[in-house]
Amino acid sequence: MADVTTEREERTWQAGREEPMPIRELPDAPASLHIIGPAMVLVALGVGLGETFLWPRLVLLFGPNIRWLFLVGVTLQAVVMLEMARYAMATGESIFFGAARIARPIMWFFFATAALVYIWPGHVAAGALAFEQITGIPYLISAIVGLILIGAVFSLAKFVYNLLENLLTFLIGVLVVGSTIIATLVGSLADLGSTFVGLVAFGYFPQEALTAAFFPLVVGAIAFAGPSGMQQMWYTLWLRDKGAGMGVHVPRIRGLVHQDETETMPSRGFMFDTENPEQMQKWKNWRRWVMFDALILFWGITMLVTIIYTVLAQAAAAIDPGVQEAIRGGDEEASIAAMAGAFSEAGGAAIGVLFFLFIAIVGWKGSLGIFDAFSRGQADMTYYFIPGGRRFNISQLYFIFLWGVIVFGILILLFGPADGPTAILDILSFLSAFAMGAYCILLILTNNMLLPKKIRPNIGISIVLGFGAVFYLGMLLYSLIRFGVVI
Amino acid sequence: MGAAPSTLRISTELTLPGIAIGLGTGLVAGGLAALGGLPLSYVALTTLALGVPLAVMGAGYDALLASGRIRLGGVAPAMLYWIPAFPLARLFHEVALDIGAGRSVVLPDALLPFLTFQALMSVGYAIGFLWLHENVAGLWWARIRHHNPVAARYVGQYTQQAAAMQNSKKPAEPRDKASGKAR
Repeated sequence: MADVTTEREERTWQAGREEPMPIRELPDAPASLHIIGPAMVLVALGVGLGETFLWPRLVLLFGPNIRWLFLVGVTLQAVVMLEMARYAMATGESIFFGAARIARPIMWFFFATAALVYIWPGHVAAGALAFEQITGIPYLISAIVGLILIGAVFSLAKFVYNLLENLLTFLIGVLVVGSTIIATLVGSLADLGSTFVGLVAFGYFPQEALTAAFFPLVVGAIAFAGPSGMQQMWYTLWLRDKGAGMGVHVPRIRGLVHQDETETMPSRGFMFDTENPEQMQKWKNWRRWVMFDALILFWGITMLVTIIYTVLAQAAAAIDPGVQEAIRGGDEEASIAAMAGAFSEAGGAAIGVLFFLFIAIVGWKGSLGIFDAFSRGQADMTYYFIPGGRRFNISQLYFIFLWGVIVFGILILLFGPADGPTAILDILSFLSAFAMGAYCILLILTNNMLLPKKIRPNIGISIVLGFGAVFYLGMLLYSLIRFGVVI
Repeated sequence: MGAAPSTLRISTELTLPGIAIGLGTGLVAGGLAALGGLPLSYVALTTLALGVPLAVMGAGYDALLASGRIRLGGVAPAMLYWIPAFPLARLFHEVALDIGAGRSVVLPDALLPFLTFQALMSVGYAIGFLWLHENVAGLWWARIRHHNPVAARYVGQYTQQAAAMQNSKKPAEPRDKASGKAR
């Protein structure tokens, strides 16, 4: 399908159904391997309620051996991340554009899925609930203030990505240092040992986890191992904004008060000359750069944080067996409260307070990143593919979606499901699995059909992606068929 | 330009980010104790007993960085540095708490498992330390770079990286070329 053609003025690369990509220079990759990369935003987002809440909860229910599923999930996500980066860095396009090049309905599917899954204020609500435990301020108030704060923060920033990066970097740094200190005070070598052993207890699956009550929970937690749902797809937008690879040819999204400076957005991405050895060398350097991001930053840090929190969960269960019983009894919100209670017993009330504070930060940070990413993705698709979308510039569309989702979030908090925030979160995590299975298939298609032969993934990677699709969709369908869980 | 700053000043300035993060960590521990309703003397003791050794170790990290023995922003070197440094700081913390409480110094029950556990968890501290260091130190170095040649070198390295990533964003193409309708 794809072929290099020579036109009168410029060479182009015809990829799939949309406009051909002009051939442009691939810039040099950053020389030093460095901690600051777009993966950091993904890490900061990915390290969220999955690692600090859902997985510790599973460990309390089924023991640390259930964590092998986490290892599989995060490793799979590292491969997905590298493949997302392959498409984005080679073309400067988002993966959504890639989906449209395969067939527009695929892209519309993701547009609709994002709208269904990510408009719920689940993260900020869970965080606000933890905040209520510390301060007594009703969660509704702090959740609404938190949402407005998110909109204000992004509206006032000149370059949205830079602000997001700085903010998340600081929060995640404090979180990692603080959590480590708590874990070293209350945890033990035995807890850590069983956590490690659990990571490689491949095939362990207790009978109880196969029940209608718990299987959807397990599927949701797997979807929350690392970046959940569509976060990996949004990663391609951050790569573009950061100027990684061919993203250098595409302008950045600017803050609301700096709209007048917005540059013209090209109508499609670009391709570099894969027949030029010098350009191919640069491509290899970019791959090395993103590999570092994927393995050290993403895989390593996600593992680390979840290990810390699993140690904490085990310490909590050892201190107070009531923690395990509370969760088994079906009271989901009791999970966080019981763990905090256990830490208070062990190290004074303050450790419990700090635990709540971290959960609150994680929740707010989760919504901050997700609302930003959701708005980027929807703006990207609207700009390129909705008729009339280009009457606005992409930054304006971004803010329409951002404030739209914030207002909707506030309305939901005020008048929405009365079951409580954790219930929203569970539905969200379960839905995520579907998008994840679907993007594995999409990546096989985009990276094998739309990219020049020399920069396509090898067969092994395509097999891993295929396994990913079976893994996510299989678990989801099994849950639907066997237990009749309706999304 | 005034007189060149002394070597001591240059070296001291460079260690401030590491010291700040170490003391900040001590404050987290102290804050915990304070929130837990523990006596002020205990709060002060735990803040200093953890914060000071971590600050010293943080300064050591910055000194190695300045001498070029540790790579700027490197994750692996930071981990290797903190694997021995963090357990030592925690051990000092435990011992100091004993002394402060007027007890005879009792090393943690099982010293080896204690140190092993702390060493493994040090990876977490190393990542968090580096993560914050990248944020805090960058701002500080930019401030002192005019009189501090090492800081200027760091800033140069970062600027080079930033130039590769950010400033190389090409100006947008002319409108007629850039917004053709999709075929």
